[in-house]
Amino acid sequence: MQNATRRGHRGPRRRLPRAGLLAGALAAAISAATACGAVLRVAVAGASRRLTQTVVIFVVLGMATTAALAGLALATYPGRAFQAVSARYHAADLAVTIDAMKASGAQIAATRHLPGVTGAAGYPATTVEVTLPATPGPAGQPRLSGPMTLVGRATRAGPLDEIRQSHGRWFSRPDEIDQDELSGIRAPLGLVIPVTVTSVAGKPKLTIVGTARLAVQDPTQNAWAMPGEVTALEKAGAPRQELMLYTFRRAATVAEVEADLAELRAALPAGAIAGFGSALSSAGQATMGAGIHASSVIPYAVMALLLAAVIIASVAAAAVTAGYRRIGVLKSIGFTPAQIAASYLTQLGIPALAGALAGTVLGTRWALPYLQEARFFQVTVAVPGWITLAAPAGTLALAGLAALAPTVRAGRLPAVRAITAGQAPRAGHGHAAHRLAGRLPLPCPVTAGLAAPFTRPSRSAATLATLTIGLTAAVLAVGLSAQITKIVLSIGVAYIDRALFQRLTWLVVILAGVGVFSTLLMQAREKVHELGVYKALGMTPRQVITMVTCWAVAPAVIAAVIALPAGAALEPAVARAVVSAQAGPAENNGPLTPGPPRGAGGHARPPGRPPAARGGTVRYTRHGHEVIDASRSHQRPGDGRRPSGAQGLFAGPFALAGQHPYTAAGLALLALAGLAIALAGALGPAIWAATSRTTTALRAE
Amino acid sequence: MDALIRLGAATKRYAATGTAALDQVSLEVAAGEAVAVMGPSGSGKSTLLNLLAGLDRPTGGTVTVAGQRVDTLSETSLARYRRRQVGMIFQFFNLLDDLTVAGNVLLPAQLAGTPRRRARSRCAELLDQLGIGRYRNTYPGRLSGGERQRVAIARSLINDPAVLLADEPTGAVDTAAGEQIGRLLLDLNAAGQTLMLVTHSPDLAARYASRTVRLLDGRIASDTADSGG
Repeated sequence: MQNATRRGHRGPRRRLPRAGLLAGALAAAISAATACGAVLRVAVAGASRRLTQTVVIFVVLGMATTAALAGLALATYPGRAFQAVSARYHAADLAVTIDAMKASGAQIAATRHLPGVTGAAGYPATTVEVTLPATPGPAGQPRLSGPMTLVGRATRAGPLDEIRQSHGRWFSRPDEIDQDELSGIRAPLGLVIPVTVTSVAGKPKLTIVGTARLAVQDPTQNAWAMPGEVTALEKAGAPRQELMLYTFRRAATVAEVEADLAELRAALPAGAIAGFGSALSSAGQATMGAGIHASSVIPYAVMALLLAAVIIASVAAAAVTAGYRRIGVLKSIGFTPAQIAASYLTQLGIPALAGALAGTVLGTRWALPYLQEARFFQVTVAVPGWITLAAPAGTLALAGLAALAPTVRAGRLPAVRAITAGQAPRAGHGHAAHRLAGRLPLPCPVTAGLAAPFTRPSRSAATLATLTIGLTAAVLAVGLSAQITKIVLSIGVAYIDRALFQRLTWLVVILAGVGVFSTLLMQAREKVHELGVYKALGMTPRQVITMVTCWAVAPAVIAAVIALPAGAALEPAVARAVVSAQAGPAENNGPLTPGPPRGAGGHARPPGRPPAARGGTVRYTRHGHEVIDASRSHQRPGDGRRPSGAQGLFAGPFALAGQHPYTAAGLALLALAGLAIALAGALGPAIWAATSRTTTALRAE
Repeated sequence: MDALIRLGAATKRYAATGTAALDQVSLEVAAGEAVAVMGPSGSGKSTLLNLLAGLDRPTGGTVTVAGQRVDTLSETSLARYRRRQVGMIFQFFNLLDDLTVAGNVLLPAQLAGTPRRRARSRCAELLDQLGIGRYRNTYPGRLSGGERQRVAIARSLINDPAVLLADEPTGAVDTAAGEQIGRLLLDLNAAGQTLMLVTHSPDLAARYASRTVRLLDGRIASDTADSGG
């Protein structure tokens, strides 16, 4: 009994501390949760009360995330697209045109059994000179003449590749041909027109009945006909050739494909290989446009992120300054510095999170069309999951970092100073600016407005930064737009979409406008009392609008002084980066880039692109936007003057990229555009200042 | 009596609360009078002053100053009215910290388009009269409360307004400075300046005003001429 009593006593004694700990932990948890709830409640109330600030943060984070996501997706796209294209279409690694006059059938057949070869298919082929009549209509073209390589094959599906019909039909008679979509000599899509073969006796006529395409861009095939038709042309005097398709054990890199080609060359008589096309170089060429997009969008994405950081920091600082009294009250009722900082971070974080999510959706929508442009390959590359997560997370982290200093300052603010803020006179800045401006023979609102930015240097620095970055983007866009056109023409990429640059430029410029709007609105709110005094002394609403609008003038002028040379200096650097982005892979592909004709009677050079483009840029629309199709105008049939290899290919573009595309008048217009952005951004705050109630403003401190 | 200020059943009702800050107040003030407006907090003193200054509009009734219907003026016209007809003195001075003393005083003259030379001359004259001439190039932050209020008075007088409206002019200064400011206002009134003075202080009202209007819950509770003034 005694023992039992002892045990009974001992039991609760042992449990008590545990229960006490649990209760303490529970109480602490409840207390922490309650405190979190209080912080959250204060933050939500702050966010809903300061609607403009909330909207600005939402918009800024949305735009920054859009730019970041599109930038990341496009920057990593070429590599991913290349991998996807290579993975899907590595069936025919090389298409080789062999001069059948130099290599015997047995020699050609022997190449099928070379150690490196895993698969081969052969088709009779010949290269003839043809003439196409002029065609009328909007898509019409003049009379065309040039070489055409005709491949004889009975069916579209072969052992190593497959031809896909895009328009019209596959031939059904000996005198009909189906043309390659990328052929240099080709009829407008959908037209059935006659072709005259001028290089053989009797000048036979063929009819183009359709347009087809190969999965892999292959410059050695311009059109297909029945094998018997090819043989008939050869009998009439056309050169005898054999188109051989090969797959190899190793063909994943340029060096491997080069080795494969060397193996073929060694197995055939000298000069027998008249031309070739590799899947690897075709994939590289097709993804060049994406490379241009990628290297061009990065500066805009960086500028958008910088702008977002500046604007968020400025908005956070303004929120803290405007909330001094509120901070004092919160402190007086027991908020800790950490809770104050947390409440402000949460207040800014709620719209930031919403904006980042909206930006993720918008950025994905923006980027997707450009990610699906591997048009010759039918490959779709989605936005990778890590980018979908990293872009919003990154912009949120950036926003958090930008807001950290002001919110920590809010937490550390002494309660008495916070609660009495505004009643003591502030230490003045910009007195010299006021004195100097006062001497100008200008109306009082103008001089007061011009000098105002110097009284709050940190706020004005934010305005200046947003304007400088926005104007730099505009300067860069104008220059890059002109240069990119020249560069893509000289590189010969498939196409480049100007709408992307326009969108990104507008995004950065609008972001700059939002930045000016928000910083000036915050300044106007901070100066609401001062504005009230001006109004009480007799300043008319129009004069108030003039004065507040003039707040943006000095930053705009300084921004122009910085941004014009900065943008002009950045442009050649970005243009060179664009060329480098193409030159790098092309340098690797150099030996595989088909050069001018090699060997007798053959054509190593692709027989080119539609001569409709000769002498100028071909433009057409895609996704409703104007697109430059540079590939057509560049690689002309029989253009033997262009040196082969990447070095020769990119010497011109590099020289172009180094040139300044700006004129003095253009730069002056851009400076005015900067002023216009500033004034447009300032107009909203100016109107707010003019229409705010004077009596309320005079009571505000 | 030739009324410089005339309020006809002036009412100011705030939409947010629905209560009348000023309820059917009718009042006439002759040119050259010094009227003290007194009453507890929330009685409508500041609202009355705001209506007279054209900083706020009545929701009913009329406000006429120097023969001009203030309550019907546009925002721009109200600004012009404030420049020319009204001088305002605030409890917390409302000086612009970015401008020097002279800059603050000259501001209303610049807004009114007064020629620079004339404005400067008038500014110097006022600053000397108020005993702060040596501070003309000093920034307000370096002045004492009493000195800052004198700058505010100089600023209110720069355009020779028809009426001077003072809202607790001694409320934020020490007793000695308050005494000096009171005497200044008395001197100004003695020189013919019409004065409307909002104050909590019966002593200030008794010493520096010739008439005292007491407001209670937005209505005039009493309106008495003060012989002691």
